[in-house]
Amino acid sequence: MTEKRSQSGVAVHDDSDLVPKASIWGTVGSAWVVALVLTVYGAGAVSDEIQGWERLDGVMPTAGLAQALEKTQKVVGLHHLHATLTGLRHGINEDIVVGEPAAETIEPVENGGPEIEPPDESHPAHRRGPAKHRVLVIGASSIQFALGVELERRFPMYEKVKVKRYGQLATSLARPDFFDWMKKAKALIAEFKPDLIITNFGGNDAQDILRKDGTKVSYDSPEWDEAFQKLVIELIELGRASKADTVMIGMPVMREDKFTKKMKRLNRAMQQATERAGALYISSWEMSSTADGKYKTSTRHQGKRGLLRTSDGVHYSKFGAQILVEEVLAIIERHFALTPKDESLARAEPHAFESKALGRFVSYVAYLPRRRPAEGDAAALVLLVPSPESEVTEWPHHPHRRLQSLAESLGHPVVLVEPLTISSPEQRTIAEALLDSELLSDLGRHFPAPGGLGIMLAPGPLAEATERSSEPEKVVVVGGPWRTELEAQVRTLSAELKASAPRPPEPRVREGAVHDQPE
Amino acid sequence: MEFPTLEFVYFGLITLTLSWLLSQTRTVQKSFLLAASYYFAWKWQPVVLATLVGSSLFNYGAGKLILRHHGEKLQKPILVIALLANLGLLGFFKYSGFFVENLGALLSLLRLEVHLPLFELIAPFGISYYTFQSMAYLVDTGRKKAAQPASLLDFLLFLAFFPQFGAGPICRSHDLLPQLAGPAPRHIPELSTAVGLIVTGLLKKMVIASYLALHLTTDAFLAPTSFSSAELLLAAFAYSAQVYLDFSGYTDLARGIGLLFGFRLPENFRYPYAATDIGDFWRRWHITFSTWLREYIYFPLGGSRHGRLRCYLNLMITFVACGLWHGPTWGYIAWGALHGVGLSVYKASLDIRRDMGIDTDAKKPFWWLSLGWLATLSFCSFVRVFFVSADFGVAMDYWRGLFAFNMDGRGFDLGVLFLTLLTLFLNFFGKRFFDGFVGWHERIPARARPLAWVGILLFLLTIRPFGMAATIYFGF
Repeated sequence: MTEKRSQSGVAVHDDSDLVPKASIWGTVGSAWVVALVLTVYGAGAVSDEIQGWERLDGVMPTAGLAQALEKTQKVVGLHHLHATLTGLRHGINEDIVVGEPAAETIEPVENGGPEIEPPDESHPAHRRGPAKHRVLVIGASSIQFALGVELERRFPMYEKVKVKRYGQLATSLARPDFFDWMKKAKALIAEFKPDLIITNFGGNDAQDILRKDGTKVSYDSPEWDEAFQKLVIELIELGRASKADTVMIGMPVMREDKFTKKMKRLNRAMQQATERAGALYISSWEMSSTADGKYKTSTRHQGKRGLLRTSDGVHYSKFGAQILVEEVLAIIERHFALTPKDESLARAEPHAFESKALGRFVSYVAYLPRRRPAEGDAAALVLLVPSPESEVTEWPHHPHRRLQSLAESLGHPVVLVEPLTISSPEQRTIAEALLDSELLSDLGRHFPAPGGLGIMLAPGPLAEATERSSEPEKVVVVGGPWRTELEAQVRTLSAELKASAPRPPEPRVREGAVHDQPE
Repeated sequence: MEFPTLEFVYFGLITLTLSWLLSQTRTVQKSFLLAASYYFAWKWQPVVLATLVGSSLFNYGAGKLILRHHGEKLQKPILVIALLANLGLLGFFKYSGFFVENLGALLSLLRLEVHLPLFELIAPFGISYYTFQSMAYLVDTGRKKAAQPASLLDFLLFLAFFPQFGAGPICRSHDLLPQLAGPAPRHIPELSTAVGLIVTGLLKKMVIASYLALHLTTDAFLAPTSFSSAELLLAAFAYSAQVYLDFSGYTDLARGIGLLFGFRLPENFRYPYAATDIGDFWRRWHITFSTWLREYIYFPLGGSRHGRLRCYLNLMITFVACGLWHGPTWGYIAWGALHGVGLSVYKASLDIRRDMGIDTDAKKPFWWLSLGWLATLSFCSFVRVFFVSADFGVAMDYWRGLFAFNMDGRGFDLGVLFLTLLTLFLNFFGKRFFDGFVGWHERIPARARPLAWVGILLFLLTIRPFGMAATIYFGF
């Protein structure tokens, strides 16, 4: 074989001396044989792919073809070779990494005590809510790309938070034979020791589920939802076994209607399973859809207009991921009481005490200002006790942030108790016990307020109980939904507390002391 | 339909079989190949087929008009209109969003709040390649240098031939049209070369490029702040290796498949990381595109014929256009502009040395070549940070991370280091391996070849990573 160059410099091969000439039919026939052998060899992966060819489904029975391929693989014995070589492939693809960071011990929060305080025999049990310092972000392509990157970029804005992201495109919970997420998640949890796991799965999960016993659950069968929910719960339980909370981010609306329908079904199953397992589900559906529930192409955010998704109509664009992550973090920040690294915002500390009156733990978040009170100032405290109707969590513009900002600007703690429902015939007694013997006593022990305590309550049994209580110096019952006006009311109450706070004694001037008072 | 997928394998095999079955009647065979190529385009998206067919018919007509009015006053206006129409098509699909976005930003800077419409246009697959191929044909026709299609069918197939229309090589008329006009070959030309190219393409693209992408480069350039300085340093060279392996691997596959159909497609890469200066690099990298830039932008601007400063300016213009061709982002423009600066500096250094009476063509000592190689490779790798980063913010994160000398990362992947070094090594010695493979394949008896092919493919399937990175140049 010789090589010549044309005028343009392009290599032109002269095959006149090529011996022997390749026979066309020998070559084409050999190519078919090779393709068929390899198709049978990789029957598992091939049958997955052909079942995805929906257009073909009307022409030929893809499920039958897939089964026939897998049967042929077993008959000719290629499944042994496939299993051996797949094992080898796993070995070859093991990471060969040096200098990998070792898992660190979790540092306690500044001014904080142990993560979970041991119960005190003399008082109702009190728990300091577990702070979130190690966040593991896992999922398929959206986590490998824009969404995961944005989460990884934004999480370190919280105090002492470390993030590890692991995304693997084209993977799912449904197909452990292709990528075993449970195994990977277990390894990542053992290595990184997260206390919070953020996940986003689903884009590749709307398919047949391969169970551990090797059987498949067809996507078209009614059993699929339950099988998928089991996988979601298994993942959440993996985290829980290592004391990590899990957040599942749902899938968005897709450009293709058919795909959207699949995601709707998957989200429903995922949300039910997540909530059943006591984890947090965050929907991305509303953010990604128009007012009439259709695929949203673009939006305006912070004065900039941009596309929400990449050209495939599936994955988030960087712009879209930024918007979603902002919404997701607002929810996570509030839910887990995270503290941003921002000097203008008070620290948030989740607490809980055991209420014998309610027979369960009652949680509250204490917003503690970073700046120390002026010398001689006796710190006051404002307690917010909402009812389930108070909509305190529905405050516009980030309620968690607003309370942090409020506490910092007031210079004393603000405590927000979870919305409480007392649905017992003895609600009056329970409310009194809860407020006086438990809540106020717990607060007094952990957040003493020599400057006075003010309570703002939503109407309800607790408000009625407070009216009878002689304990608090200032009690305000706020009717209607707690929206923006609440902030002004807290400020007024705080000012009243400060005004009526015991004055520190006048500093005595020692004789002969130099002072800067004008003569 | 990406190349190494099951769907593509069976599409290719059916097309190959029928194409050779129909080869007795060349027109029928070419019509079938055109139909298969159009099916391939339609499979990406119907708009891909619509723009391809529309553009092909327009350019065929424009070519005929230019020929008819050759030497007349009308020839130039027809050529200019036809070129503007091609650029308009490309601009509409590829650059309108970028233009509107930046115009909006500019207007708001001037405190003129205008609500411009936001386009969600997806550039049809392959449009950058076949538009440039068409423009080259039109200019060459105007210069009377183009090989002319024997029929409309030949011209349609010249632009649509499925192994190359998605990401090149950008064929010029004399590369492919004479082959289409001739009779069908009686045998598969250079079967061993074809097999060698396909195997090399799979190894480069499916195995090594994917490994580099999945184990380091994708994440490192998405979130550089999570990586140590050493990992970021490796990532720059690993991405250089990846982009070369991915694109040249695709080209090898396209050329190998082309040969199975009896067509020779031009080569696009000639071991670019063996280059010892930046000029040498561009003679080896994406050859059909760099030739296009030289022939249709740099030379018409005057090349080096109008003085040194003008030559440097022409280089800058040519390479900014090169960057912009890749996509409508400031990152690509910066990448192109930096290559323009690099080439201008290199050209100026040659000019100064010649002024000093130094023979720049004389054989260089080994240490000089080694330094030149290291400088060229480093320049190309670091400038690509702008090419690969989603925006300037991410690129700046990369640079800050690189010079932070921080050790806090994910761990140094020795597999990535090994494959990056292997890629560089193969740029020097790859041809020997390739020729050795072709010779070995020639010696295998025809009956034993299927067994050898199965063995090779099983080996590649076993060593490939889990997942395959998308072809980078499909995105342009």
